[in-house]
Amino acid sequence: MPQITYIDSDGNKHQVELPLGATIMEGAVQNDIKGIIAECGGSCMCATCHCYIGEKYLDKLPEMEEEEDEMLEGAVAPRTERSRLGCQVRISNALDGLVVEIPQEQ
Amino acid sequence: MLLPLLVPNIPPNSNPMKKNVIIIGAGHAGIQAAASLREEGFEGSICIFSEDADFPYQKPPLSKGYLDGSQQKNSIMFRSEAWYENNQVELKLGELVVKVDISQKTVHATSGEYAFDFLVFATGAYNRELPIPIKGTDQPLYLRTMKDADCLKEALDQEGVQDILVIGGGFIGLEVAAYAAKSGKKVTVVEYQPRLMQRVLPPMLSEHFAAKHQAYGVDLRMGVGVQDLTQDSKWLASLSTGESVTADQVIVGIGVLPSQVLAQEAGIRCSNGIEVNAYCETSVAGIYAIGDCALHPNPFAKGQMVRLESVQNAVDQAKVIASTICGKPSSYHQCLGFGRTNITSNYKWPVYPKAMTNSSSEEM
Repeated sequence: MPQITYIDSDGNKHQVELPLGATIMEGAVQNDIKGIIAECGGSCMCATCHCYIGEKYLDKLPEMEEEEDEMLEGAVAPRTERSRLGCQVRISNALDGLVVEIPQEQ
Repeated sequence: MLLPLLVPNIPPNSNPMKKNVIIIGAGHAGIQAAASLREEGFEGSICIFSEDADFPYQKPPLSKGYLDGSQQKNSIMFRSEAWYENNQVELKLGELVVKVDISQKTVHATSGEYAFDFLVFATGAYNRELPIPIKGTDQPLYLRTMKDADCLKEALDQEGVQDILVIGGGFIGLEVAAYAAKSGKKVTVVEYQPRLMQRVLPPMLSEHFAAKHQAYGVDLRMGVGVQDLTQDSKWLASLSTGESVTADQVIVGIGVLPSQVLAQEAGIRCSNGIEVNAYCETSVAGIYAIGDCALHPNPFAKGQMVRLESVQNAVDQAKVIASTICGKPSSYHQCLGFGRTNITSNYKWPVYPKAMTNSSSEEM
């Protein structure tokens, strides 16, 4: 299973293995990683699973749909080039070793 | 561990961080309350009673990703089983609380009596039922639980099911209509009010969503009531206009009512919801109500009493009571808002406080 490192909203690192097909958001919530709220439960409608993706992996991500793009505009923490919604990124083998940073605010 | 009431007169524990909390309800409010209590360092026992036998899951995706198959059962769970174990949050699933005794500070459940120092009502809401004559061997379908969603999906995906009647042009009705229309069904939506989602949306957005649905071929009948439903080989609905609509399946989403009977029978003050103050405390000290079932004074509605069915409200109120129970009283003062998926559009809508103070949910 691909290994993912989360840096939570307090700056603590957590290394977890996630099954293929799980989302970054699900991995965070189910492993009790602080800072991902995921209010809507993964329906791409609340922008409370906003996270920053490690630079090296940006071109390995699934493409962003218009809905995610719109929701990110409303995220509380600043949107950057590395911003994605955790619920819209599914784990693939290409993401093994990924580092995900969680903003202080959602 | 929760102690059944076999040992009377346990000396009261003065440290609030070590008392017993019972939470009734395992939706967003209930689960968040448990999580926030532990985050605040609460060391006492936490026990959650849930009528629903399914492992605690999130309800919003039931009418969205779960219905269309893009989200599976395990991806809509709140927390893993390990989380409940590690955080010593006891789950009593499929267990009905039948009575709350506020003088003894106990809840009576199907498996026995349990003592609490703090009690949290996170009981949510239940579906309003169609108040019209219904004749048929089947019943129209409603959506609230995961089980309902499974039944609904099975019914809609059945071969030969082509004509769908949705009664109620609110969130649930329109989300189900969107799913059915996208899967190629012929969908009619009947809404009693003159426009869609009138209670929570301004006219401009109602029109926007009406146009989106119509573009998918949904037949919207606004300002129309259903007078009776009869099932023969198909369902036949007689409308207030004198017309009728036939359908293979009928889905009803005409709003919800707060689940407050337990509180009411215990002598806790209720009206359109369990009444709480700014700390989400009910008329009885140490007993709280949060989420869909709580009627709270909201500063953004000029202090009027508001009962809101939204995740944000449930989660924020849960945090409020967690810190209050841990001896750091905090009050609820959030602006009202919620998000919903609809055909191709996502919004986080600010809610009209005026509309939210109406005494009932979406009218039929």
